[in-house]
Amino acid sequence: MKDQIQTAPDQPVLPNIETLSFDSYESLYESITVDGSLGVLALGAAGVMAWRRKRKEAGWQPPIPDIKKEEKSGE
Amino acid sequence: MNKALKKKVLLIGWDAADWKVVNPLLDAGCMPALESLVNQGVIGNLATLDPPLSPMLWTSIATGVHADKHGILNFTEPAPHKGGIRPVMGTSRKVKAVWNILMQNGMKCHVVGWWPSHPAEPLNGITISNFYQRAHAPIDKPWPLFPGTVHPVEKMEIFDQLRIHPAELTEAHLLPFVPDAARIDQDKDHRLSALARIIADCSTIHAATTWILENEEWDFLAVYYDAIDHFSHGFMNFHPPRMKHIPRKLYELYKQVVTGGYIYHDMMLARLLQLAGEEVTVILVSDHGFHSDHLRPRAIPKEPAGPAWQHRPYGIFVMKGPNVKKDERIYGARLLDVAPTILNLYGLPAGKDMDGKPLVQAFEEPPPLNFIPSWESVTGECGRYPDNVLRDPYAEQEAMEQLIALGYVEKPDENVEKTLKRTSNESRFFLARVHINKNQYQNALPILESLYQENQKETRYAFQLAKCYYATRDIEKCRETTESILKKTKKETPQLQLLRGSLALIEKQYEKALEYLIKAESAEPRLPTLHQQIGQTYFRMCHFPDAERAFKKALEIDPDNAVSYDGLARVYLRMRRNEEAVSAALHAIGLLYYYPSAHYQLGMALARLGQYKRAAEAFEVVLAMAPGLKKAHRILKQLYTRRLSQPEKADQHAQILEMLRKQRNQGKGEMV
Repeated sequence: MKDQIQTAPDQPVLPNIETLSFDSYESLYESITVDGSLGVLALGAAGVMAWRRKRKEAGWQPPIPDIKKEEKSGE
Repeated sequence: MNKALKKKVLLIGWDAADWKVVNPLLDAGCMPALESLVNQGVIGNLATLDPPLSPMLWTSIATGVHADKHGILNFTEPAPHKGGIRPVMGTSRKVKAVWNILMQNGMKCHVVGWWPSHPAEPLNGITISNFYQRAHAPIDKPWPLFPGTVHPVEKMEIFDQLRIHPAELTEAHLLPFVPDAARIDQDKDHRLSALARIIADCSTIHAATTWILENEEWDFLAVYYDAIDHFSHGFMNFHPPRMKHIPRKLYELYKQVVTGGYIYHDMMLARLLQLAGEEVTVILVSDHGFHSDHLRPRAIPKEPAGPAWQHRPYGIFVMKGPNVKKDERIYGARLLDVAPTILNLYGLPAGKDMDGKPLVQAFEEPPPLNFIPSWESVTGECGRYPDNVLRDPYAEQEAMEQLIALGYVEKPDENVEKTLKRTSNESRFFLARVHINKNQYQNALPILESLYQENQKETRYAFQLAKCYYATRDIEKCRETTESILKKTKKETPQLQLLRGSLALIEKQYEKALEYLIKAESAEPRLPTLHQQIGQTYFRMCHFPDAERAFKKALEIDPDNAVSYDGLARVYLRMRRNEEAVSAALHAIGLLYYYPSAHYQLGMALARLGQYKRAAEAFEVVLAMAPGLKKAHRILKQLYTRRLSQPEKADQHAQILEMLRKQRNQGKGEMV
């Protein structure tokens, strides 16, 4: 996690969790960012898959190996 | 299929969720999804069981029986093929879960993440085991799903893709919990990583559940989220108000994590409700609560399952759906009642061998109450494990490490035999506590006697043994055991003074008891059990106003204490304040239904008020819980003869009294 948190102390942080709106899933879905959000995770499978698509579109390469390939080579 | 059988039920488990944390968040409008459930349904406390160990409790929720019947006794169990120990497995459950019964009756059932549920049971829907969510390798290394995690196996690929690795999370996910995360020196403080793991794990469970709701037919879905328990064990010490021993800097950093965790669960709940639809019956439960106020322990005892000391004895119960009362509170619900209530919702009978009962008070029009002797003897495909189920030692190892990290399980000793012995001892100890919880002291005694004989240093065993001797009125052995504890304890603590006071109370040395107890009070005035003992002592001395004051003091410290209300009821009865005795007894029962003494006080007070029918009902409840209690049989015999004109019932109690008398003469009597 060390690499994940790079926000400097004097930078503004995201709004506190209390201010997130929960009755506007559609708008959350439309406004998914590359960073994602708790609202997107709370959408469940649809949110997670959409977020991953968004990241891919933005050129974000997850350091996730091809699991199936690894398994096959292991066999 | 009749109308009742067309119902859909969504059972949601939030481990350790507690009204004491929820209520302020509801008041502030921070949990709108839960608020909608509360407003449209019934709510109540859900009394937990002892010992409050989650795998045991969630299995009781799923089966409606105590752990001595369902067999899940501990976090770990011996691993027969490895010669060591492993996390407790679903295969060790000895009885059917509610989903097995529902499947047998034609319902399509899905279960996600229940603890314990590995390997996944072959239900007619999708089963995701409790080994599913944990990322067991860094993100740039393979982290394949463990075999047996998903049923049916063809769905593995779909659920594999839905898992979220903690390293995928960004500031956007973590800063709402820890706004000043950038100030943390992560080389020294690893709490942020722990937080990311909790969020990733529960989001994974949630993603799998929502996928099922969106893509599969279903009649019943049960899902278990463990994250509130993990947020609480990790961060409750930083929850407001600040505990004196918590440094202000750490408090400021982490004070929002627990409330953040609850609010995130509300966001996930909103999605579940949206996907489930309006006509579904939704049941939200927790297995126990979690101390969040002045009752938070400052330190956790260094003993197996030590973190369970942070648990509070009341979980939450919320139910909303067609035919469920709206915006009402129900009293006396227990974990054991959840499975029979679900069967009742579907119009199915509960098993007479179940320890819980349907919560009929929750319904506008209660469905008919039916019982069968047992579901265990009903044949037919129910989705239980085949005999030769596969096990994965690596998955077991990973789950073990998680339990060790949480502090629930000690790091296994290198000496395998020693580790095995310790696991086996703890499971026996927990079984003894299950018997004590059921008031079956005679069953607990031989287990505790042998445990204490083999492990003289374990005062935990001795404490419970002394409790059993006291309950069975073996005062001599109770005194011997208590003295052996006192000899082993070097430091004079308030708890030790309390023990000395309790021993003096048992021996009817009331003045001496008060001396110890008041000494303990001056050292630790905020200990509710201490004020209860002071109340008991004054009660025995017939100093009723002092006893009343002491029990009220205990209730000031912990307003949810059934024992203190029971004490007050007894005091009021002796003071002839019968209406107040009824009120206090009802409070005790509302908090803890399985409490024979409180029902007894209620019966006595109602009889004095001339409410004989209600009084008889209260005594019948006493006898359902403690069948050998002669004084309750005697009172009922009199009530049915003199007040209610029911000679047949009076005869029944007369016959039981005669049988108990014969048993006592033959030396078979059991104290209750």
